[in-house]
Formats: sequence, structure tokens, C-alpha cells
Amino acid sequence: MADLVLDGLTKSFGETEVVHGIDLSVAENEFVVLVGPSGCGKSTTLRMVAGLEAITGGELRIGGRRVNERSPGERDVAMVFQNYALYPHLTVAQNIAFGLRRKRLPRAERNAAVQEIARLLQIEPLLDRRPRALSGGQRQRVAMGRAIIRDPQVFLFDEPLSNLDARLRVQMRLEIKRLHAAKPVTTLYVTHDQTEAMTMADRVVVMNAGRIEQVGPPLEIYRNPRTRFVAEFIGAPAVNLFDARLSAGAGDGLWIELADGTRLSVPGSRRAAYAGFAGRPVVFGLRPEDISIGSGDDPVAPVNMIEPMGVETLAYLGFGGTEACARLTGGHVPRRGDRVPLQLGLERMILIDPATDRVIGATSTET
Amino acid sequence: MIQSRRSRWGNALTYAAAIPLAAFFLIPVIWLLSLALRTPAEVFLGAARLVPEEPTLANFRQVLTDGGFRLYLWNSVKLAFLGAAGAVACAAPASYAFSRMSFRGKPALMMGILAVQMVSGLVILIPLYRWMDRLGLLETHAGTTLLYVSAGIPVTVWLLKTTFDGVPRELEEAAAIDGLGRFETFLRITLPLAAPGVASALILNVILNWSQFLIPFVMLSETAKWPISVAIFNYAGATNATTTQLLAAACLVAVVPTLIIFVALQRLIVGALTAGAVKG
Ligand SMILES: Nc1ncnc2c1ncn2[C@@H]1O[C@H](COP(=O)(O)OP(=O)(O)OP(=O)(O)O)[C@@H](O)[C@H]1O
Ligand SMILES: [Mg+2]
Repeated sequence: MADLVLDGLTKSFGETEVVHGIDLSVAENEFVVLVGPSGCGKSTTLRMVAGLEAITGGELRIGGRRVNERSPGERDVAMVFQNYALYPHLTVAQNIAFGLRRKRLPRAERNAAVQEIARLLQIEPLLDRRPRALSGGQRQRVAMGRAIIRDPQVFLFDEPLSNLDARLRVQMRLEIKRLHAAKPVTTLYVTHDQTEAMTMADRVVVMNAGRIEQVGPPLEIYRNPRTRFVAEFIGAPAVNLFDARLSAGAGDGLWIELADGTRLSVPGSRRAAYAGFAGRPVVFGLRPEDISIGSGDDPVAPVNMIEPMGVETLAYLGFGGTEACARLTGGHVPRRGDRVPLQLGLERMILIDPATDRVIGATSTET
Repeated sequence: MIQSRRSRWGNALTYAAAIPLAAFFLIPVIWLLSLALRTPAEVFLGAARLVPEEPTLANFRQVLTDGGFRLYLWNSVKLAFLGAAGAVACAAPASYAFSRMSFRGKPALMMGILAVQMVSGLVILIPLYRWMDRLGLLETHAGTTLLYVSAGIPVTVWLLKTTFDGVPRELEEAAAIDGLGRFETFLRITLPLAAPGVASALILNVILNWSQFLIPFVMLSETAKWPISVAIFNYAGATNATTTQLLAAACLVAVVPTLIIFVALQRLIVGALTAGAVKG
């Protein structure tokens, strides 16, 4: 096992730079997830770590050693590909054993290792089949087996679950997490699915347009996004954002004025951080679960649409001059066309400076 | 209804086009077969008697038991297979490079290789002859094989490039991560997966080499070294009316191996030729 350090990694294809300096350190046995929209450079970054893509600038260290110039084999990393990349002409057992080739084990030992991995991944009955005769989920397991058996320094995943159906994806997600708990390995995992990132990661790295936007534990990223991009990207349904204006009231009071004239009082705990923006346009953000059904003197909003999800119900409300999504649990569920009073969890609000797209008052986090 | 009528018309047109085409290629073969089955007496009757009254296999027997003829056949086999193997062995690394690496002038080079293919053998025949003479390779099977190899390389490079293009890059990347070097990856991953394409490239070369005439005709004047194509040509030149039926039998025997190979493996060959185009 070893730690992994990306020190100002950049990548250019010809003239165009697509990764603009990634600084990231992954601790020994840590599970870090790189998440971001399509084309933001996740795969390119991962492939630089794997050695499949030459590093244009910066330094990559595994276990403290610079490995920029090492071949993929010498880096002792294992990788699970999106399309699994199983060798079609080899059986499952041979595919799994392929990763052991460099270790030059005696045959008996190698077979024992394959058996053990097959047991761990519950693919023992498949060992003599060829990849063609496997289902997507089974291929996925074999691909993982081929990687795990190597006992590598670093484990790399590039969207390994994106070709599976929704149910299987949830199941494999849990299984990968279990495997990591049972056999911890330093892991860098790429996905564009924020749910995967939130559920699997020790730490999440949000990337956008070739840069890191924010790094932190999932809940920290969720609760304290540092930029508008992170706030919008993490969380499903997405955070509600409203164009607004911050205005000073009597005494040290601060008000948020929404486009439709609604006025909301900024909670005392936030006033100090926001005071400097009084009189300026801002973007006001509130997550769907922070909007609930209120009572009497709360602002009233019409219900435009209802999506029952089982445990919770998503209600789309006409609010703040636009539409807001509320995540309602239990109790009374309104119907389309109702007008309901809204209770807003303003102590969890975020405020974004539209000039910089940074979240105002966000505590700076580690990288 | 309309659909099926239209498709029936389509079928009719297809047949209308296909029948003359088939006839164009089949009539000479049928004519050969007719001649090869005749006794010397019936040969004089010409086209008037397409189906011989007294069919005989004696001509085939005579041709196949003739020591000289068997030697020609063996020479053909030797030259065709050695030439094909050589062409594939030389083309494979080039195709792999064209498929997997990017370097300056790659498209130009690919087109250049194709352009070489377009130069008729006749144009370079005399310089080639003098070259081979200078190298001391005239009158040798080694020299002839070398020319077969170089004649086969351009098509083979293109064919194998398409084949290698069809092998997913990701598999080679997986192999690299599993610690294989480039050459080992080529040997253990790419080549086995490209096997059907390589096999059809080999077969295609064998067929082309089998029907090769110009090169051996120029290179080899010693009777014992001739392949069947040259032998038949010389045989035909020396022909008189009494040996026509033998010549016909010899021609058929010379053509049949390629026909058999093609019919038996046509699916493989066509598959490889269209692999790049219709990859699902
Ligand atoms: N070989 C290449 N040559 C030129 N540009 C490339 C190459 N590979 C990737 N790019 C560009 O680099 C950028 C980042 O690509 P990358 O594959 O890393 O994105 P990604 O975050 O993995 O996206 P996705 O979620 O779609 O897989 C893209 O704009 C892409 O067009
Ligand atoms: Mg990607």
C-alpha cells in the first residue's frame, strides 16, 4: 500500500491544455472519488496516474517516489475500465490470473489465488467461461477480480458502473465499498454520478473544466460548497437557486429580497459574513430538504407539480419568481393546485456572489 | 403488398444483372470442362458438342500422373504459401504501427503504399529484371518469393490495419497495466484477437500468388522451376489440336484449388474485407 500524490499535474493534447494543474493527495488506503461533468478531464487525470497518458507537467508520486516516467506496469497500479476490457480470448480464470503474470508464481499458488478471488467475488462457477458468455454484472466482477488479485499499490476505477442497469449499479456500489472495507487499498475512483461520489467516497474531489473546484468529505461538500458549480452539481434534486438582492434593514438586520418581492430575514449567525454584500445582487440557494410545509404567517406558494417517490415526495412550487423543488417527508402531502405555506430552513441557506460565482462566507477547505 | 411487389421487382432486377455476370465468368469454365472431358476425336467437333458423347476422365488421369505437372503444382504451392507468409509477416508490424501510433505523414504514407499497388507490374518489369540479375536472384525460388512478398505487402498492410483497428485499444491498455511490454502485448493480446483477419490476409495472398504469372514468367526460365501458371502458358504455346483436351484438364486442375479455398473460406474472407466498414 502507498499514498498517491498529484502535484500540479497538467495535460495538453497538442496545443490545447485540458487539465490545468491538479493538486491532490490520497492517503494510504483512502477512497477518493473524482466527480465532475462529462469532458471535465476526470479520465485524462486518471489515465495520467495509470501511465496510459503521458504527463505534460507536474509530478506524480506513488509511495513517495516520482513515477512520471514509469510504465504502467512499473507503477504497480490496477485499473478497472468502463467497458471492463476483459481479454475475450481468455477464460475468466485466465483473465483473473493475467494480472499475476509479473509475479511469476508457481502454478499451484496462482490457481489458489484465483480461487480465493473467485470466492470473494462469488464468481466461482464462471471460471471456465469466456467473457462473451457473461452478463454485464459478472463481467464487472471479473474485471475487479483481475485488479484485486494483483494486490496493487493503487486501485483506479474509470466509471466502472456506468454500463450497468440502475439496480445492479446500486448493488455493485455497495459491494465495492464492502470490498474496500475488507481489503483497503489506496483508491482513485472516477464517476460523473454525484450519488456514487457521495455514497462511496472518503473524500470527494469535484472537478470542472480541467480544474479542481473543491475537495472534502461528502457531507462537507454537500453542506458547505465553495462555488456555485459545486452547489449545483452535488445533490439530487439540485439546490434551488434564486436571483435576489441583499438589503440592510433596521439595526443590524439583513434581508434577502427575491424577484417576486418576497423578503426573507437572514439568520443572526450569518449576518457578519454577509454584511459586506448589503445592497448588492446575490444568488440565494436552498436545498430541497430545507423547504417544508409551514403554518399561518409563512409565505404561501402554489404547488405546480408533485412527484411521489415513496418515502418522500418532491413538490415543485412557484416561489421567488421561479420554480423551487421541495423534498417533503411524511405528514400531509399537498396536491397539485394547492397553495401551501412554506417553512424555509434559512440557517442552512447559501449565498453566492454572482460576480465571482463563489459562495459567500464559505470556510476554506483543505485540498 | 406493395412492399412485396416492389421487392419482387428488385429481385428480378438483381437476377437480370447477375445472370449475364455469372455467365461471363462461367462460360469459359464450362467450355474448359467440356473440352477436358472429351476424347481427342471429339475435340474436333468444337462448340457443336458441348456435352461430350463419350465423356472421359483420361485427360485428368494423364495430367495428374505426369511427373512434370506435379512438380509445377508443387512449385506453385511452395511459392504461393511462402510468398503469403512473407507478406503477412512483413505487413503485420507496419499495419500495427499504422493502426496504433500517430506520427507525422501517416496519411501520406498510407496513400503512398496504396499508390505502389496501382503501378502495373509491367512498368517496372525491366528494371526489376536487371536488379534481380545484379543480385544474383534470377532463376531462383528465393528471388521469386521475395517479389511475391513485395507484391503482396501493400494490400496486406491495408487489410491488417483494418483488422488491428477492430481490436479495442482498451485491451492493450489493460495489458500494459497488467505489466506487459508493447511487443508482448502485441503477441499475446492483439495478434490472437486479430487472428481471423490475419488468416484471411494469408488466404487472400495465397490466392493472388497462385494466379501470379508475370513475375515467375520473367524470373524463371528453367522448366523444373516453373509454377503451374507459367507451365500451362508454355504448354499452350506448344499445343496442337491433339493436346487441347489435356491442356483444358491441366487448366482446371490449376484453377480448382483456389476455387475450393475461396468457397470454403469465403465467409471469413468477405468478413475480413468488410470488417472495418460494418463493425457493430
Ligand atoms: N486523445 C485526446 N486528444 C484530444 N483531446 C482529448 C483526448 N482525450 C481527451 N481529450 C479532451 O480532453 C477533455 C477531457 O476529457 P476526459 O475524457 O478526461 O473527460 P471526462 O471527464 O472523463 O469525461 P466523461 O465523463 O465524458 O468520461 C475533453 O475535452 C476531451 O475532448
Ligand atoms: Mg471519462
